[in-house]
Amino acid sequence: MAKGFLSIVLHAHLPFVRHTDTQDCLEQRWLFQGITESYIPLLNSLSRLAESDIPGRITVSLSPPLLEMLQDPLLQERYIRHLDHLIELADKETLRVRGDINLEPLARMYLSKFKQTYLDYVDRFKCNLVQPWAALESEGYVELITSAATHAYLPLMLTDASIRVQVKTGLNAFRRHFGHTPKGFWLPECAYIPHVEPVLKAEGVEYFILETHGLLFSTPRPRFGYHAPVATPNGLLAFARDPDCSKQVWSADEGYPGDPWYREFYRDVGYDLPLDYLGKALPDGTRVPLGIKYYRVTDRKSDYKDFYRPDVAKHRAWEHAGSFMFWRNKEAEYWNEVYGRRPIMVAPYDAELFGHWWYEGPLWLENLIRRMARERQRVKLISPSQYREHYPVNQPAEPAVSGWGYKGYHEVWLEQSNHWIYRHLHHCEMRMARLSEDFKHAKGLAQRALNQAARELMLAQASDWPFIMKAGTVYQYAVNRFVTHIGRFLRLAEQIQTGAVDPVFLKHLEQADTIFPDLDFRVFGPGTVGAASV
Amino acid sequence: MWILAAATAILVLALAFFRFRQRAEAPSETPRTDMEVSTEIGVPPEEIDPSKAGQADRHAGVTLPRIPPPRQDRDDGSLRSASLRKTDLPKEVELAWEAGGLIEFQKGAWAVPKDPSEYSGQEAQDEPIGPKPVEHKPTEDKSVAHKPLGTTMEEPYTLPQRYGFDRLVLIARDPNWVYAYWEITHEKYRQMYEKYLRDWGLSRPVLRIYDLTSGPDRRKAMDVFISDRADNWYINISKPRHTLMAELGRLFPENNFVSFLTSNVITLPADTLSDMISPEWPPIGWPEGYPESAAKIGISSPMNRGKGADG
Repeated sequence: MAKGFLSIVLHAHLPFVRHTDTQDCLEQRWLFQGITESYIPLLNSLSRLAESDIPGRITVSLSPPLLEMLQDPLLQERYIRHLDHLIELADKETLRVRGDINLEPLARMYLSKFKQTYLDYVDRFKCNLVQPWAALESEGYVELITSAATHAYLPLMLTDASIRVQVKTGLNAFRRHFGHTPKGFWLPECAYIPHVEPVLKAEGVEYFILETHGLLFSTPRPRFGYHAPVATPNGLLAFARDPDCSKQVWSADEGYPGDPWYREFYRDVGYDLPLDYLGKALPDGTRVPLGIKYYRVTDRKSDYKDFYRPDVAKHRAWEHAGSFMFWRNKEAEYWNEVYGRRPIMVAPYDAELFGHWWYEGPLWLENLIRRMARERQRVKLISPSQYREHYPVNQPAEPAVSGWGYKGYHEVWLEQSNHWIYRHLHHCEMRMARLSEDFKHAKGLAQRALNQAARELMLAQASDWPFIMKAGTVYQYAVNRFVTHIGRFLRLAEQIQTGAVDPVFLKHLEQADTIFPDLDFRVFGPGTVGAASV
Repeated sequence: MWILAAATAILVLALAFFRFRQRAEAPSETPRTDMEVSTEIGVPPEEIDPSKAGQADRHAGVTLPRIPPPRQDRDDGSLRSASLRKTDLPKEVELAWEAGGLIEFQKGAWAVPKDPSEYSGQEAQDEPIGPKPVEHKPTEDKSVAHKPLGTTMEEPYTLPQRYGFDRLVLIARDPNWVYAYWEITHEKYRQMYEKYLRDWGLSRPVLRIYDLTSGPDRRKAMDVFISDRADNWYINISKPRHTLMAELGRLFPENNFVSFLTSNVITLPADTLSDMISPEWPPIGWPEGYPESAAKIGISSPMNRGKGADG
């Protein structure tokens, strides 16, 4: 008899970084790194579990922009070319470090890994990374969910109508890729406001996940803290992130990824070797991590790094899976006793943490699921939607507005570096609503222009732009993307209103921003104007 | 010896007199006003970093925002007397309105600020400024090195500073802070100016916050004295769970508030456990098992490890 439940939720998201004006750029590399280091290793780990028929279901959220990019022929082709360059470099590396007792085995490891990745991607998955997820889901090993259309930060939108469009478009994209409605919805950045619920309910979604205090501060006070979902006034189940699960995996100080034996992220040949040697492996001579890393964390406070030992790291991943399991058992036992009800521990993570940031992450996850099944643990791995089978009756309560960013609310996405964007976003929201009402019978060119305007607006709404502006990593890129999408929207809006749509300009945009090919602008439809009291 | 002593005495006296004169001339530190003194809470000083105002290098193809020309301080009443001459009116309105829109350009306050001279006698534009792209060739030019978006097919975009709508928007950022931004159109500003011309020089721009928590009738929560040149403001109001709205206007003598713009209604998030207990679901495991407020949860954030942060 299980004493509690564990739900692991991996959220995979990247902004839409399809660039037709350049072959290769740093931002497109986010996708390529994600595929090589996270998505394929995770798929491999989960496929191995499925092959050995290990029970236990994890939940994977695939954001709509990511789904669109994974299925895009242009990006698929570019990814293969990128892998070619990477294999070429790994090959060169084996020659460069030949005879080095520490480095040579590592160089050989990377060469064979990249070659295997190539085979996986081209032969096994046929360049399509959406299909294997669907297969795993139909076999019952994962539950797939999705997020808002372009990962908009929902509480900072002006109108309920805009929230509705983001949610609905995201769900439509998911349906187009997988043929069914997901049971769960990933709130971008776990940012919750009650206004998101009616559309989730109307679209057939059953649950969503909140930051811890979003549930703790529910009204009325939740009986089981964050260890059980509440039933919202709209009949949805709201689960909360378990802080201990997060800390053990995520924390830079105490988390597993900081273990001295794990691979060091920042010592990468992309940073360490001469530019002319790296050649085409780098985009336009910009230094980016390439995924060939020879060193381990060693000591987080020191710059001295020892050589990476895959055998030891593998062993640590096994031990850490055991540690995580141990603490979940303790947590389940304790709260089970306090509550007289089996607690659920929800552990949401960014999928890119596994593999990209924490190289051994996919292995850790595989070990965890395997050990939980084999060692007859008292915690059962379920998806949030399976919880209802065990506890159909849940406490009615209204969750609190919250988000998982710094300080627990919206400050990361609304502060000095990025607050200027909301004036433009809000104006365009209202303008789009007005356009879709005024031109609801539009046909032909005007209709295409309206659809494209809707795409441009949604691309501008991505939470990634204000996040990057705040983080300052590629500030200029985020500003450019935002200004460009708003600029394109405004120009299209002007052309639509004056009845002078430029077909060449429109065609150009349709080829550049291809997201949501089936989008119908009427989703912004009537009833949206005047939704907010401004 | 006594000559030296006398000289010193004279010097000391002269110094003392000079000091006294200085003090007498200096304005009193707290000018008396017949207006109600309200809490003045606004943009925290650290929010504005003049050294970083409108750094051009952070925006592609962007010109620096121009600091508005020095203008008369309206509080000294000079504008009031000047306004008696009817012919000067439109220019003064123009000036004040322009200044009102120019905002103190904080870091990233506008993606693409415009030259203020473009505004005079011109309505706000919806259309992005800039020449039309000369050629449209929807092909992928492989020889072009990566440049910021929109360089091969389109001219870099500039965003309009004003959209031509009267608008005041509040955003609840967290349990303590409200962010407000606004736009006042030329007509509106002129209209209000002409209507309240008489005391305009004695008025101050104010953001008046109302609390709607206890019902639909608005109760004034606080007045925030803002700058004439601001178009957005952070307000530290610290009223978790309260429902608020605001009006932007001017405060005239005798506490006369004239509203220009009305905002949307917002509710600030909760920052503690709810006091409401459901009889069917009384909490267990409290309080020893759980912290009472968000601050104690030690809210962790995926800031450092996350998508796209490794550029």
